[in-house]
Amino acid sequence: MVTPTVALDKVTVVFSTARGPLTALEEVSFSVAEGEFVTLIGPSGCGKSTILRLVSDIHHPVAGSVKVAGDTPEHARKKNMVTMMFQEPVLLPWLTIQRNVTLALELTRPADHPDPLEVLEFVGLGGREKDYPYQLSGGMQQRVALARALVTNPRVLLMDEPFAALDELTRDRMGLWLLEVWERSRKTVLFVTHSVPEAVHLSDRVVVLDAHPGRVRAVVEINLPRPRTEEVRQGLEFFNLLGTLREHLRATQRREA
Amino acid sequence: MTDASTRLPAAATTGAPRRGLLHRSLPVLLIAGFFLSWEVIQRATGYPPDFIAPLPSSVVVYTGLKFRLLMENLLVTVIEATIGFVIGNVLAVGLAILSVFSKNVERAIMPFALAVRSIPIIAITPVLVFLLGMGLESKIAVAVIVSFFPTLVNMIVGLKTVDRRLLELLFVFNASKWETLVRVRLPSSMPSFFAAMKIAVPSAFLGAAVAEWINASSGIGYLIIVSTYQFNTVMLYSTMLISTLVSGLAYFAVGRLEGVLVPWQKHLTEHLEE
Repeated sequence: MVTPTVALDKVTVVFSTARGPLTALEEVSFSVAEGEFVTLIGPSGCGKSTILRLVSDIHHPVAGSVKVAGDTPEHARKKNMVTMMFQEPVLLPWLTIQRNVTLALELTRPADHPDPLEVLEFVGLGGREKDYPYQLSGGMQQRVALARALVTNPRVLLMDEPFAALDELTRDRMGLWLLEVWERSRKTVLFVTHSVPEAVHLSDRVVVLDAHPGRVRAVVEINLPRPRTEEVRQGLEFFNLLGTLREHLRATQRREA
Repeated sequence: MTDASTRLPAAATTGAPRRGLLHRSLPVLLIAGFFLSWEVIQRATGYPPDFIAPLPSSVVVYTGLKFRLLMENLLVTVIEATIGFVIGNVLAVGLAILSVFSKNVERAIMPFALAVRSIPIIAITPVLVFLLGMGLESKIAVAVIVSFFPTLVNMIVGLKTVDRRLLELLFVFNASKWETLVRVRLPSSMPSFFAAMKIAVPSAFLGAAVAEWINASSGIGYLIIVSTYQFNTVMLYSTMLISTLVSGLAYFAVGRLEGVLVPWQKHLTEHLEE
């Protein structure tokens, strides 16, 4: 059997809070294959972001194991196999776009990496490298954040609601654009979202999580052809999958109530 | 806006471009108006008498006549203040950086720093003069103390107020603590640093001047004491004028330097105002 790029096996995470211990994740198991696009969806408090933090070695489970390419998250991080993107671009305002991207290279010093200017071209920001972050729109700033994530040539890209702060129209465009970029680079992506259409549109598989504690409720295969054209998004299959996911999410809500 | 201008007809008649000019020259007009009315009222009524407050014009003339004396003494105070300011800030920035690396450093120095800060300068200065003698050292020490504290407090806050996600990102990028400090913490603390400078620069100068009251043979503070003893109010007002100009210029210079070194801050706030 091929080693999955990301594998969680019966992972339990407990946080100590002011009101006592809080089980954020309970026996969560799933895996992501090389080059696969997997989305985590679920109500607030289901531990979606916690899962990304486990993979990136920021948090550690109290039980179970997290493996990145068969290795510990710590080793994977030290080998620069993982990068992250957040809801906000989190750029350094005193650096130009180009310097924001090359900062990632200066810190990680990867042996083999793409040319930063080509990466900026790749994310559609060619010619903007001398600009400062404040000169760019929110959507463009997120593209810089993605360029910064891609330039170190990682195997795994962790995306924590990267388009949630954008308006609906920009968000949709960014989704289409991300798919284009992903289809050319074929990184392994672990994506977190609250949006059901976004999950169906982008993913190969969607993991639906319960909250309090976070558990895997269902894993839904998105068997839609790629590229996900407008035609695919208008098709019956797409709407059926939306329905299936919404049904699962309603079940998590019923558990809550 | 329309409501405001109908209620304030005077403002409405000035029009937009002229109001912009007025807006900018308002502080100058206010100061000029104050001294002009002072001059006119004192000349007309003879009150207040000139041993309490000399005519503004005679202060200006006196400052011109005694310019060399004033500058020689100003230079002494500026040297004391600058040396003290540099030492105080190097200490403060150094300790703030250490406190990023170790929480214990912050816990250890903050009560001490607060205690030193709470002692009135006027009370601590004689002690420093006994300790360090009547030369420059005691004045420098006072300038160190007054400029140290604002920088320390602001730098600790500035170095620690960094976006949590940015720190997580740097962690994922394997950045060392040192890299995090140099690449992110220090640049993001620049606005706090300059906020501290705006307090520390004038206070170092005023601190050194106050220290000269206790025991000195030169300096702006020395001139203040001498002119008080001699009831030389024109001289006293001249030193006030010079001190105010120097403090103001220093403050202004810090602001300009901030604009050059931290240009992104201006853009961020401008975006907020829009």
